[in-house]
Amino acid sequence: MILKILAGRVDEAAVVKTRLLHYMVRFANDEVTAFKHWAAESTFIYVAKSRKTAAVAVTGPPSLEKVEEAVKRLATAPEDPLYVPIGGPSPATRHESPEDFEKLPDLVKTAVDAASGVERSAGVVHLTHASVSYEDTAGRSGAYSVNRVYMAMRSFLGDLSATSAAAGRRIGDIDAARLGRENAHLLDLARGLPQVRVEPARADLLLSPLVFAHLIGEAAGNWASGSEVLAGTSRYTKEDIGREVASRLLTVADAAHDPGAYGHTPFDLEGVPPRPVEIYRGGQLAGLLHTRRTAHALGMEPTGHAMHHYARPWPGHIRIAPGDGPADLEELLRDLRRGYYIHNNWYTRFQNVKTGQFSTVGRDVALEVRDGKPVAVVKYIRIADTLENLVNNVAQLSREARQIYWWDMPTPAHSPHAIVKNIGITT
Amino acid sequence: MSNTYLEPGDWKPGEIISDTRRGIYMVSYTEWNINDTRYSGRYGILEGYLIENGELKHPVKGFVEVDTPELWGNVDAVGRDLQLFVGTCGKGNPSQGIPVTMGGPTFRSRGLRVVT
Repeated sequence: MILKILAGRVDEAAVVKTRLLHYMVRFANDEVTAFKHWAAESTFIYVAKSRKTAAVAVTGPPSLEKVEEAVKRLATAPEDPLYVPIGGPSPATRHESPEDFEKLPDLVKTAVDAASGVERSAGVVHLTHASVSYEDTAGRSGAYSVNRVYMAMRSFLGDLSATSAAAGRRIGDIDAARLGRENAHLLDLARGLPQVRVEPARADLLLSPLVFAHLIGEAAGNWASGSEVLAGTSRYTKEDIGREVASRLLTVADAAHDPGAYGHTPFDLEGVPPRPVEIYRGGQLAGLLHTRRTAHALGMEPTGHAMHHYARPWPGHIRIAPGDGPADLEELLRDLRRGYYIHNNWYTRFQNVKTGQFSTVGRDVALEVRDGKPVAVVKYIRIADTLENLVNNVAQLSREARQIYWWDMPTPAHSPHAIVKNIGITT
Repeated sequence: MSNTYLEPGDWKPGEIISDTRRGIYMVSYTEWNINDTRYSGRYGILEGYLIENGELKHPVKGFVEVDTPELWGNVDAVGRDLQLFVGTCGKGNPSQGIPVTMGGPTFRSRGLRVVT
């Protein structure tokens, strides 16, 4: 319908309609406190005429007024320096039926029952069934629907807390008992330890998958994005591809193409299926994430990463290759020898995206480690350094990667634990 | 998120500056973060100036790292220039925001740690 309204008034148009059906179970004090569902619809409209482009995003079904707004914007828009004609193969159509939301509360019971020794747990299980359709004036069209589910649980013991998370494409992918066991294990390690504060310093850190994937996700999104490279706001240039820019242990790929990944996206806002893109390969910058526009501008191939915006590529799901380090937390602490274990984080803020100067606040239990053993719980720790130091100073990766997501992560991920040397901390 | 703000005092903002021997006049901040008990905060200086002998000098950058009780416990001068601005308070799970006001008067807090 929208394309018919636009016919003859613009040279090209594309319409992406999204309907997200959410099911959420919330729990507190070990019991389900809310079980709700809601639907969110949005429409993205792109128009082009005489190399001028405009786009509008609408919450809910688009009104005629919004369609007209897109056309009106063309009249005053300058010629788009990144303009590229709509084209390429037609996106595929593939649907999957919604997961059975009535199974979600079972995950809560399983996780809570496994968290033995903690005082209480709280959290969320969130299932999304996303339905997306694409059509454009070049005759390309496609549609898909996918399920995505994640669970995050925070357990408490006195004033200590621990958070675990898991993500997957099916409810069956979530190992809820593991969340409970991990929280119980960490709180048991922290139980009875003295609580200390740190002075600003540089230290070796063991980062949980939640923390490491969060920060690598920021690096991937801000530095490997074609739009940021074009704008000069990335740490990297196109010429850096093939150069060593990170620890040789670091291999990171975008896995939005992978049907098993939480962030699996059959095609992006331009109707392009995501390609597997290696961002870091053994410490070398291996590739960039692109929309059709940024790829054309940089003389590269589109990768299908117009995930949230047609002008700014962003990873759909990052996969950090595991290493050969131990999978067990206490063995990892032994390998760290002296430093700090940071289990969770939030409030990641950048003071300079290009240099990657950031700080992020530790959340839940953080452990001070001496001679490979936890000796104290650290209150109010904050990582304050650069992403460049982070990616360069990776010294060990565990051999097991977890698929994780919770609301504060920039991108869902598969990630191992990581030991990173000589990183700035403050309180 | 509550719409709390500092009660205005008697000082003119300029008087607070002229009464400060050495300090930083932080006009606006950016990229702040804080732990989940709202105890240990860090506030980047978006626009700030060195104060020497009661006079504004050159622009400075850096971060104020401070515990909440220290920040408010060390306040010894509050301006009469109450200003409120439109803002949004965001929350996760799922991501959402509500309109709020934010702001307050100029104030001085003594002896805070500033890092670069």
